[in-house]
Order: sequence, then C-alpha cells, then structure tokens
Amino acid sequence: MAATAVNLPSAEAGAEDVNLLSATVVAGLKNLGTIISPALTKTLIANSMKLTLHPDATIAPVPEIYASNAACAKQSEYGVVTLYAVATKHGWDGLALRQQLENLSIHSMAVDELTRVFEDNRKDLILRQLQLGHNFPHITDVQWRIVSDVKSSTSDSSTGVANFYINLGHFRQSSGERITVVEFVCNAEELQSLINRLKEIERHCAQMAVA
Amino acid sequence: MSSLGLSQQQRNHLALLQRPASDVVELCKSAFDYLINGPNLNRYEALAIKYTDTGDPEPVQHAVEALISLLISVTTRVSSSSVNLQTVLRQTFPDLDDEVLDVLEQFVTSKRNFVEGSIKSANIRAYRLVNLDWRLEVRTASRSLLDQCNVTVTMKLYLHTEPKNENRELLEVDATGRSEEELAAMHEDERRHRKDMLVQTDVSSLLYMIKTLEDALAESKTRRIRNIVDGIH
Repeated sequence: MAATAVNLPSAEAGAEDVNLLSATVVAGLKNLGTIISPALTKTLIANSMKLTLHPDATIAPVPEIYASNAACAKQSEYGVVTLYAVATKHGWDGLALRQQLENLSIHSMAVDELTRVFEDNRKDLILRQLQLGHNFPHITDVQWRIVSDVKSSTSDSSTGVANFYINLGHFRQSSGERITVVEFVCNAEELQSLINRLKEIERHCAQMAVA
Repeated sequence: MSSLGLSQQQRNHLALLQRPASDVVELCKSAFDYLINGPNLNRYEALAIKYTDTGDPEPVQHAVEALISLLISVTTRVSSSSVNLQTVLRQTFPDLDDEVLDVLEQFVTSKRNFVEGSIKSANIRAYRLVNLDWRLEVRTASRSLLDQCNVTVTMKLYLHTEPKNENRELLEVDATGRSEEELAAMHEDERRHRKDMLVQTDVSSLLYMIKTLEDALAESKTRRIRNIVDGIH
C-alpha cells in the first residue's frame, strides 16, 4: 500500500516531516463524497462527531451508511474521529484543517462539511480533550451535614458538640451522576481552619492572576 | 448502687482512697501514667511500701485500674457540669472526705476529653481531616492537547481516624523508648488509620467550596442548631 501520510508544514508542527495521519485514516477520508454518497457523508460526519463528544449518547441507527459498503463506512468513521482528535491536539483552526484536507486531495464537498462541523464544535472538542489523560480526582462539588451524637454503644451521654460531615465529589459528565471522592468529619474549629486554608489558596490564585 | 455503675469489686479496690489527699494525688498520677504508658509495677511496689504493711503491689495496681474504670464511668454517664459531678462523686463515695473528693473531681475532669476521644474512637471511626497541603499548577500541555493553559489547584488531604488531636499527639510522644516490635505495631496501626488523598480542583470550584463550607459553619452557629445540640446534651 502506498504511503499517503500527511506531512505538516514545519511552521505548524514545530518539527519537520511529522506524519500525523496514517494511510488508513487518509483512505477513510478519501471515501467521503466518493464511495460514500454526499448525503450519507454528512450523516456519517455528524454521527462521528456526536460519538466523539458524547460516547454514551444513543445515536439513531442509519442502516443505509453500512448497506452498500460497510467496511469503507467504518474506515471513514475511524478517519473522521482521528482527524478531529489530531486537529484538536495540534490546535488547528478551520483554515489549517481545510489546508491539510486539500493537500490530501479529499473530495471538496467532504472538505467543506468536515471543516464546517469542526469549526462548529471546536470548543467542545478542546474541552473534551482537556479531560483526557491522567488527572487526580477533580473536585467540583461539596456537600455537608451537621451531626451531633445523642447516645452510642460506647457512651451514654452526648458530647454536646456538633460535627460536620464534609463530602467532596464531582459529577460524571455524561450522566450527571455524582461521584464521591472523599468524605471526612471535622468540628467547627477544624472546619474554620479548612476554610482559612482554602481562602489562602484563593488569595494566591488572585495574586498570580494580577502578576 | 451508685449512678456511676461501679461494681462492688471495683468499689473494694478503691478502698485505698481512704487516705490523705496527697496519697490520693499520687494514685491519680499513677492512673494518668497508666493511660499513657500502661502498668508500671515498680511504681506500684514503691507506693505499696508506703501505703500497706505487706508491701504487696497488687492492691495499688487494682486501685489504679479501678480509678481508670471510674474515669470511664464518669465520662460516659455523667454530664460535664461540675455541680452534677460533685453530687455524683459524693453519692458514690460517702465515706471520703471533701479534700479527697476534690482531688477525684479534678482527676476525672482533667482527662475527660482524652477518655471521651478514646471512647469515640472505639466506636464507629470516621476519617478526620488533620492537614492539607496545596500546590497551584498550570498545565501547559498534555498528550491529547499540546497547547493549553489550564490552572489547577492540587491538594493533598491528610485523613486520620483518630478522633482527637490530643490522642494522636500522645501516640506520637509515646513512640519514644519503645521496643522494635511495639514500634512496628504502632506504625502498622498508624498505616491502617491513615489515608492521604490527592485531589485537584479549579479556581471557580474552589470559590464554590469556600462559599458552601462557610454556609455550613454559619448554619452551625444559628440559635436553632445550638438549641438542638444543647437540648440533647
């Protein structure tokens, strides 16, 4: 198979002759608007983008895409998803994407559609790729409850102190389900010192922003 | 039967309290030492020579252990108001003179927090936040996004199941002069009851956390919550 990988201009890639798109990807993109009809090309690109941004989403089945040439359609889906991932990773804008596709001699209708969909969803693609990779659990939510003991198996009397149960967590992006990251207990004094510590971080962040 | 629920045997062991207040102070000090370092037979022998004709350390040891039982009973059964405590002690030990009762009251009051913490820790253990380290970071690139500028706050939460700082410090001080086996056991205990968590957040979530936690603290200071907590105490 002939090598049809893209060579990015050195000014954009920061290094010479970096092959960013494999032959399989390029072949998949070349099917768009040719083997795969223009109407189906649009649906295929839209579905690929939806799957990229919302992997858990339910997508209405379009049997026509796979009716005549299922292998080509699958390869094209793979090509579109990869193209958008690479473009986002390297910070291409719509123009850069268009140039790359034109250099590869992709069908002009497919180039237009790929570029339009990319520009429409560029922000979401960046946000999605920010989430990928290794991160410590990201706290976005805090829940609390105030609890005072009345009696227990080891003590007949209440300690007469209210304690705080603090639960730090985040929400799953796809389903909105809340995930607990850590839960701990503290008394009023300890909670005050936690708040002070968090405010100290905030103060340093503000100083950094000014600087 | 007193409201402290001491058994007849424990009350017999406390017969040694019918001595001058200064001797009772010595016994109470031995009980404090017992809480931190465990039994000390040499000390009991020395006291036995002073207090008894036979010099047998057993009655002294029993008295010290009964004092610990008294401490636990008072902490679990009597509310912390001093008027109530004096009355209960007087009812429990009608034979003791006022000076000795004062010493006993001081003894049970001073270690109340310690015993309360230990009792709580024997109950359901929840993690407490004991420390927090933080670092402000800017992520400039990742495998999936080469060009970015993402400000994150990375925090390390130190959690411990020991309920009171006082107890933890005592455990740490206690580590000196211990045998290798004892130290290993203590480290094992430390490992089991400790959890360090690395988490991160962004600046707007940080502001939201501060606001929410301040709300919680403000809520706990309202008259309604105070009345409820005082009511069940």
